[in-house]
Amino acid sequence: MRRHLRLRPGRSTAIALVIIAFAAGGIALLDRSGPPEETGPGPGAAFDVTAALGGEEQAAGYRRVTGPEPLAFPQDHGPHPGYRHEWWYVTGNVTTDGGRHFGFQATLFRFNIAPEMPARASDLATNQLWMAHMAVTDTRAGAFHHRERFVRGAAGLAGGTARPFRVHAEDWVMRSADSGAMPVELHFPAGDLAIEMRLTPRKPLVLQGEQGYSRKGPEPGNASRYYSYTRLAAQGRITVAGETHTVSGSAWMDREWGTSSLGADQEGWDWFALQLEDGRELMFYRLRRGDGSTSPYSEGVLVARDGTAERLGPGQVRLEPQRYWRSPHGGRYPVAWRMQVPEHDLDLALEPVLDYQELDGAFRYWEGAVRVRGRSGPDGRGYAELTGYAQ
Amino acid sequence: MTLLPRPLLARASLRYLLGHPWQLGLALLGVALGVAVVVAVDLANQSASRGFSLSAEALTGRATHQVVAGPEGLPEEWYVRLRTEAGIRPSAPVVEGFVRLPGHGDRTLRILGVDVFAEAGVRPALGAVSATVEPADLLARPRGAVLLASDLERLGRAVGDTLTVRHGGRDHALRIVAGLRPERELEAVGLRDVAIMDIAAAQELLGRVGRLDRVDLVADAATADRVADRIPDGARLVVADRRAETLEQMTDAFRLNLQAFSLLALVVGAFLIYNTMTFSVVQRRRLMGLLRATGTTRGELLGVVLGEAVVIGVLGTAAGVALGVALATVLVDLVTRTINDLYFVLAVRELTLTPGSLLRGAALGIGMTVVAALAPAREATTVPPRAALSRSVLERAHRRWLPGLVLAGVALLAAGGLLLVASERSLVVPFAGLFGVILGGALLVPPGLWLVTRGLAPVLGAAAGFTGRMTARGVAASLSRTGVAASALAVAVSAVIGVGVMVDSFRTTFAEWLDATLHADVYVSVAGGGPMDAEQRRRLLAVSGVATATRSRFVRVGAGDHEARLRVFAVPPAAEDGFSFRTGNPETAWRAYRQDGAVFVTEPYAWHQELEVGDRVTLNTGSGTATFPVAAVVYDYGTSEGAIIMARRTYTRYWDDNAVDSLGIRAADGVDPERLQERLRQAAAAGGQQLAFRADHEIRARSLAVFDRTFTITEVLRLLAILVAVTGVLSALLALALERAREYAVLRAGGMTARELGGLVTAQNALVGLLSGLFAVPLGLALAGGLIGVINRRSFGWSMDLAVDPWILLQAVALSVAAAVAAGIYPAWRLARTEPALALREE
Amino acid sequence: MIVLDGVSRAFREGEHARVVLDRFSGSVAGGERLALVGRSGVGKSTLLNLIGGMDRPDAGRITVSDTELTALSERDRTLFRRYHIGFVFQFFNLIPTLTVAENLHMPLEMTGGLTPAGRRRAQELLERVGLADRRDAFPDTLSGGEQQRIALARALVHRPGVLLADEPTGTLDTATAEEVLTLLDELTGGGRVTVVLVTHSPEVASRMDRVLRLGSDGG
Repeated sequence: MRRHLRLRPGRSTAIALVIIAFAAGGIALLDRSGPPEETGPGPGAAFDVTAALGGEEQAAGYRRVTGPEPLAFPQDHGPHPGYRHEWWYVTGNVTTDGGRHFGFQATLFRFNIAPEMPARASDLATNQLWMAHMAVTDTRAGAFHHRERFVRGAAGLAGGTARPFRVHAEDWVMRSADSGAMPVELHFPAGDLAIEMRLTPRKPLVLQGEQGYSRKGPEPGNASRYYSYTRLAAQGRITVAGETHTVSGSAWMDREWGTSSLGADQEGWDWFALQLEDGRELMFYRLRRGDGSTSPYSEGVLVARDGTAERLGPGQVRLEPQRYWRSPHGGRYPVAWRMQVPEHDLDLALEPVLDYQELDGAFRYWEGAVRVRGRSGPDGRGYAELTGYAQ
Repeated sequence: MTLLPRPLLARASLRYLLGHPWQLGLALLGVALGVAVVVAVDLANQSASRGFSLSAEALTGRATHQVVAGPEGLPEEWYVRLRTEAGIRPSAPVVEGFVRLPGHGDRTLRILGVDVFAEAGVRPALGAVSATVEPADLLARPRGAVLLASDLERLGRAVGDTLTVRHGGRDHALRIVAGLRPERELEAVGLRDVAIMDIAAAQELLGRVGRLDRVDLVADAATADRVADRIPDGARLVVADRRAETLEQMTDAFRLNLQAFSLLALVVGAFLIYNTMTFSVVQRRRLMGLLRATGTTRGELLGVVLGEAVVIGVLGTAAGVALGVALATVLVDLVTRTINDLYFVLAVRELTLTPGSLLRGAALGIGMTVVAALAPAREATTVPPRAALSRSVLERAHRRWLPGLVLAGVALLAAGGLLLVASERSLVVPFAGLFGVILGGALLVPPGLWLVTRGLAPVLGAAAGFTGRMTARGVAASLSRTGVAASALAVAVSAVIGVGVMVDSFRTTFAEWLDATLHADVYVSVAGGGPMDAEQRRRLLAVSGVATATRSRFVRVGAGDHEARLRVFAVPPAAEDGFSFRTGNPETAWRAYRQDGAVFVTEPYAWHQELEVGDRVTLNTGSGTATFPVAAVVYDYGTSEGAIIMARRTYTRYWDDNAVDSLGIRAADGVDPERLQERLRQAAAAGGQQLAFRADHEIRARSLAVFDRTFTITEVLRLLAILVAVTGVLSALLALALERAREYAVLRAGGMTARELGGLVTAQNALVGLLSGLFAVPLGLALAGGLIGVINRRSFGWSMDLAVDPWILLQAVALSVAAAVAAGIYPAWRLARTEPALALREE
Repeated sequence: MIVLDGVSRAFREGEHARVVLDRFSGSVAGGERLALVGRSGVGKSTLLNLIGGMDRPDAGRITVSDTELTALSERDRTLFRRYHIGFVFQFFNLIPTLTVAENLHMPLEMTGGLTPAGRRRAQELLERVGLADRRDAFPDTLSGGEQQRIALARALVHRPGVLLADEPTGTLDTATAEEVLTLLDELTGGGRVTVVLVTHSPEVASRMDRVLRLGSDGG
């Protein structure tokens, strides 16, 4: 979601599908996934993700993204509550001095669940619902840990400001480390699991799509604002099973907000954000349609060492699954891939650092750290997101 | 060598029982009724208790601790900081209150305002609500409510409908957004009469915007300590289970009282069994002598009688358990109602058949039967072979017991009396004492009967000739029968008197207290509960003809290990007579109350907390913990939990709370209270808040109605005890009539008409009834004294004056006579109908 | 004068009716003393009960002292019995809750005869039966013979025209029985009282004026 314009919407779609499929069992799954104090309620699940992804007819009352507009910073780092959905999505690969590798994910989602809310006396009443995910992949231990939260965006429980930049869901916080918007600090404590990270941009932010206007469908309003920090130096601490490790590495941040979503025939997507050792970043998402074909709105970007970005269309990138992993909760994910960008002479093998990197919260999806081996081209690291496979 | 092998013994025994169906039937009925009452009360208690714990558990969930607010509530920012700064999770905010359902009998509905997203770790069942309800319906749109689907059906509502509730003087249309069908019984029962709302909607509905009533935590000791460090003034951290426990313990005394009453019924039932078994042995003395002569051992005879007792016990108990279950369905309603009136809101809609209750009842029934049969069974073994003892010999043998009975009776009375006054606060000990008194009194009945009838014989003889003498002597001469029946009847009637006098005394005291307390002419409160709008108050006070107004506020505050009811009054000096002082000098007490921040405590509160004038109470105030001297203990019968009474000025000094719940308005001289009330109504109609106006006499009538309702269960138990006693008397008199058939036949042969004989028998029965009733009077008064002086005081903390209405005594004695006469009608009729020749042929 | 005319009486015994008396006729003259003998079950006691009005025949007429008992209601029969008939049974004749004297006074009281004269007669009778010193004792303190003597006195205290006795000496030893019979002779001799006495004993029967043997054919 974060990365692609569409990703986001697409992801929401998939989430909705998953939610519909698991409406009844969601709670039970949650209870299994982690200590109760960090699970949300049975994912409010039904909730609006359905609504968040709803089609045009349900978009009434929301603000819309209808064409390219200049983005204004730092204001646009903060929340845009008039839009139906929004997120701050960070993934990264880090290692200890000793070379021990961790993958991490820290995400805040914001949903507007009722665009036309009546005036309410209570400050706790709100149309803003926040969802937050955090995950850590402990590569050496072969363990994947994740947590989920739902928090109302009211009375200071969850919400955010652009200046100084600060968004949070209770005590899970992303905020400016200094006076400017960047660098950013992540503060995600969850008992014996925690992410404390400082993220410093190594390249300027990249406006995705058309100057940040990312179309997702044939209608002009089927679009979102989308920008990314494709290479952030990450430095901080990761706590796993109560043990804290000092780490450093590289992270990626996606920002996206909008109102309308993808077509109803979306089945899921495969999204990749790779940081190559030659200083380039490659992002691509393939939107899968119900008949198994690739949507023409699939898209990607290749960012050069100097930060210049080149858009990639669906015909420029070839993706082939290499290996599947069967989830204990049902479904089969293609976790290993071969990705080719012939125009740039890239032929990359993507292998997950751990097969089991599935978040089985309110909606079940696979979000995991991958290692890149260049059959032709450089090695690297990255993150992949696979949705629509859970069964 | 026995001539009769055991199966034949058993067969003879069985045929005897079947050959006396009335006796068998009555014995069974006696056991059944006794067991039924015990089982029913136990089941009703258990159901109420279970209803309570399910509700408490469903509402508490997994919470280990609760941060409970004082009257000002917890600021919601405190909770926000708890989550965002301290990261204390799971922690769930709660706004809670009660609303009325107009149009549904004004039933009460509990509003439970929660954040479903914070509930997963505390009350998963509520957390699950988020999976079935669109979040916008909870978070964004107002008045959304989730109820049990079963409650919705009862209310005739469906999802999408609205449900009108009344609170704070306003009607609110709740939007029903979902009907829950919990899988677990815990929630299916515990969430009854609960409307789950979003915390924001509940704040708005209950007028608690910005405030929380409590925050529930699942916390280990270290986390709890961290929370404790952050607790704001006026709130306190409590262990969740203990809070519910304290609440339920309040009903312990009430339920123990019920249990004691039910045991009384069983005791009466035991008399009955003893009676039946004794009779069956006496009637078969000749047969048993024969059996002994033919080689039946004593042990075998003992076995026969005990075997019969077991058969009667098992059959009677089985019937009693079934009857008890049926009876319990009525009682559970009464028990719940009383708990609602006396303690807290509780919804118990069906009976829980706890196996423990059924087993206890069964064990008690069978055990009592066998124990009651022990003495007769022993008697059977003393029958010498070929015995043909005359009745008179037997009666003389019984009469030799009389001195022993007197001794035992006096000893039991003394021991009972001692136990009654021995302990300081225990309830079980004085109850044991009361039982001792009752049993002792019961033991004294046969000797008393003998003495009185012996003395009466000449008197009655002079008045009514030989029939008079026969009446008196007949009673005395058949003590082995009449004595036990009279004891049973006396016990039952004494219970009638004791409980009747107690309730009557209580009611009298209560009514007097109401008269003293209701000093205003018009009482104004908010329809559906909640504080009164300030402008409504101003409108009312501006009405001409208002002389003075007492402003009242009722809240709960933390007081050490419990939550105390705090009543805050701004009392104009003219209304000071509304309090009756139990201890404390009114003059100095009022001064301390008004000027020195002293408080009054009600009598039950003083009892429960062991407080006296001069002690201090410690309260969690809005500005920290503070102690307040107790200036007086005042009489109060409004709640058995008790309350602290504080001057408004003192209250506002410690709490930031200006709310007023009700006004007591006194009309100026010469102003007609009715007219004033009308003008007040008109003035209030201008505001949006509906107010309830009640004249003092209405409040008095309502209070007394509630009082009477509260004691319905006592009445029912009393009636049941009488029923058991009447059964016992019927059984005894029937046995007696059968046994005397030949004697009566001789009278008939001598030319006595059937009517004359019937009259004779009835006169004897009436005499038994009359004497039992008279013996019951002192016993009943002693019982009333014990109940009022010790049991009630310890159970509820209320003191009351013993008020003996002679009418009650008269009624009880009349009841006793009527019971005996009624019970004797059938035996008398049957006797009179028997052809004397037939009776004579029987020998 | 007792007249029985075609008297039948049967008792239900389970499914069957046992015919005890079948169209029995007979009479006892006024002042006559009749002994009824016969094997057990031939209807001796039944006949006695019928004459005493304590039982009704299924058919036939019974007339005692010119009163047709079979035409009377149960209540009237009882009242007739009260005034005109005395009963003595084999055992247990006395009211255990009344003293000896009170037992004797009972028939007088019921017939309105408890006058000073009546009391005197009771005292006389008590003396005649030799138990004046036990007048305030309760029956159960008396021996069987003593009880039966009192019973006899009680049966006659109100001067009934008819005395019905059912095995009055059945449980007594010979000597005691002799005492009771002698007393019976003394109190009823001279034609003042019509006596019907049921007995198994030939000696006892022989002391009566006439003996009627009931056969198994019902007489």
